[in-house]
Amino acid sequence: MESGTCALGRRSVVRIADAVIGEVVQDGMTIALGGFHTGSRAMALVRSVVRARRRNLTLIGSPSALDADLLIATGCVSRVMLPYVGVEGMYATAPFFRRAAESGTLDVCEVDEGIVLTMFKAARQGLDFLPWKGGVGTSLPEMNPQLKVIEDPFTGKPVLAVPAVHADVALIHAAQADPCGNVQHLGNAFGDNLMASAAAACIVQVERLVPVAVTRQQPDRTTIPAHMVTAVVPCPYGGHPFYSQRHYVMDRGHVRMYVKAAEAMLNGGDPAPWNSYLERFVYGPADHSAYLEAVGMQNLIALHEAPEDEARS
Amino acid sequence: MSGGAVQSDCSRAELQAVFIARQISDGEQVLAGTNLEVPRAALLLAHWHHAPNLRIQLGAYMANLLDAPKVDRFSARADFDRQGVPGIESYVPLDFENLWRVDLTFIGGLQVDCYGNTNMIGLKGEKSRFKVRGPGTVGTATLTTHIQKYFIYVNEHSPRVFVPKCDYVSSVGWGAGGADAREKLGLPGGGPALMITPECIMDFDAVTKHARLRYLCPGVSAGQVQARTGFPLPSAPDLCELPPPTDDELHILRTKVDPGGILREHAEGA
Repeated sequence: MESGTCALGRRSVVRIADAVIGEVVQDGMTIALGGFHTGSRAMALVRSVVRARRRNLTLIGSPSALDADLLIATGCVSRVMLPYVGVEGMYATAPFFRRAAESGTLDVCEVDEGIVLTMFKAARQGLDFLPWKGGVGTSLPEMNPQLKVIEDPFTGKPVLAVPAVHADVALIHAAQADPCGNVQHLGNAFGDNLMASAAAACIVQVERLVPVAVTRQQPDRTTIPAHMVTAVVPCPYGGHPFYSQRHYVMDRGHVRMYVKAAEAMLNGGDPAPWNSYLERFVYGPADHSAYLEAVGMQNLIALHEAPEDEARS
Repeated sequence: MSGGAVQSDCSRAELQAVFIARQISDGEQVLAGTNLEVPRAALLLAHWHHAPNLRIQLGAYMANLLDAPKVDRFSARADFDRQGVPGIESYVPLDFENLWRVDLTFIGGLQVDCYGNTNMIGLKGEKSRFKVRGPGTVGTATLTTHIQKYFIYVNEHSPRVFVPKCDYVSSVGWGAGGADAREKLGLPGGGPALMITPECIMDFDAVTKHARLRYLCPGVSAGQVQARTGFPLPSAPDLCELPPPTDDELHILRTKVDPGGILREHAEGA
C-alpha cells in the first residue's frame, strides 16, 4: 500500500471447501448441521469433512438427513445430539445411523428438536442453561444425563434444565452470499441463524456469490449477517442430493442409490456397492465440480422438473 | 353438515378421514404430519367442506389451500415452494415457540400404552439400549407438551403396538392415568384426545384417562380389537360403528381430495 493513500478494502471470506474445512474443522469438535429434514443440507461441506478424515466429531442440529449418516458411515463421528437422522418421506431412519445406534458404537444423546434449539438459545444468550418443558415426563432425562429435571421455583412443577451447547463450527447451506459474508436464504432459514449465532465459526455454502450491492438492495433478506460468518463457499448444487429452496428438488434416485448401497453392506454383507458409492461421489471427485460431473448433467437438470411428478416415486 | 347419510361402499380409510374431518373446526391451526394419507385427506376435506379459514402448518410453512387445484401429499419439505405453488403464505421459524397456538396435530408411535403414552425412540434390547432404533422423538416431545390437542395415529393395530408399557416414552399422554396427570407434570397442552387405528377409534375415560373403545370400523368386533390390543380395552357406553359420510363429504373426498382413490386402496395410506 502506498503511503498517504487510504486504500482500505474489506476482507473477502470466500473460500474453497476443502481448504477451509481442513483449516477450521478439527478432530473432536462439535459440529452444528444446518437445514431442516431434507432441505438446505450443507452436503458439499460435509463431503469435504469426510475427505479430511476428521474423527470423534459430535454432531448437533435439527432433524437431519444423510449428511449425518455419511459422516457416521465414514467414521468421523463418535456422538450425536440430533433429534432425527433419516430421509423424511423415504426412509424413517438412515442406515448407518440405525446400525451404529443399535450396535452401541455411537453415543446417541437422546434429544428432541425443541431441546436442541434450547441448547443453542442458551449458548447465544450467554446462559449456562435454559428451562424447557418439552421432554418432561418422557424417557429423555433418563437416557441423556445432560438433561436435568429441576423444580420450577414458581410452580413447584418439574422442568428440564437444558445446558448451553457452544458448537465449534456450523455448516450451513443457503441461496446466496456476498464476499463479505452476508447470507441470504431466499426461503425459510429454518434454525440456521440460531445455530450460526451459537457457534464459534460458521461456514456457509451458497448456490451463488453476489456482489455486496445485491445484499444492499434488500438487506431485509439477510438471514445470517457477515459478522457471524467465517467463510462463504460458492457451491452450485451444493445441497445435492437434497433440496435447495427455489433451486432444485431432492434427487430421490440418488438417495435411493445411497441407501441401497448401504443396505447391501449392512444387511447383505456385500461392501462393493457402498465402496463404489464412496469412490464415485465422496473420495474420488477432486472438488465440487468433479462431484457434479459424477452426478451428471441429466440428473441435475431433472431436479428442475415439476416436483409433483416425482412425489409418488 | 348437509346432505343425507349414504349407504356406501366406503373404505375404512375414507370413513376415518371423514370422522377426523368432523373433529376439525373452521379457523383452527393444524400441524400436518408427513406421509399420513388419512390425516392429510381429513384436513383437506375439512378445509374444502366447512373450514375455509383452516390454518394448515406443513412442517415449517403455513398454508391456506382453499384455492389449490389439488394437493398430492403433505411433507415438511417444501420443494414446491421453488415453483411458487399457491398456498404457502408464511414461514414458520424453527424456534419451537408459539406452539400453544396450534390446535391439533397427529403423532405416531412404535408403541402406545393404555394412557396414550407413545414411543418413537426405539425398542429395548435384552442387554442393549436398542433392539430396534426408531426415528427418535424428532420434535414430538415438545409438540405434544404444548399443542392444544393431538390424535395418535398408527397404521397397525396389534399387541406389538398397543403394549402394557412402552420401552421408552417419547411423548407423555396421560402418564400414569387420571385427569390431572398432565397438570401435575406441568404440561400445558391438552394431551391425546383420540387414538386412530385401522380397526377402531379409541378415546380416553374422562376420569381415569384409560383408553376406551369408542368407534369400530365396519366389520370389526370389539372382541377382535381386544384380541389385538396388549392391554384391557373397555368399551365406551356409546360404542358404535364409525358413522358414514354425507353425500357432500363423499363427493368432496372422492372428486377433490382423493381423486386417485388412494384411500380406497390402502387403509394405512401411502
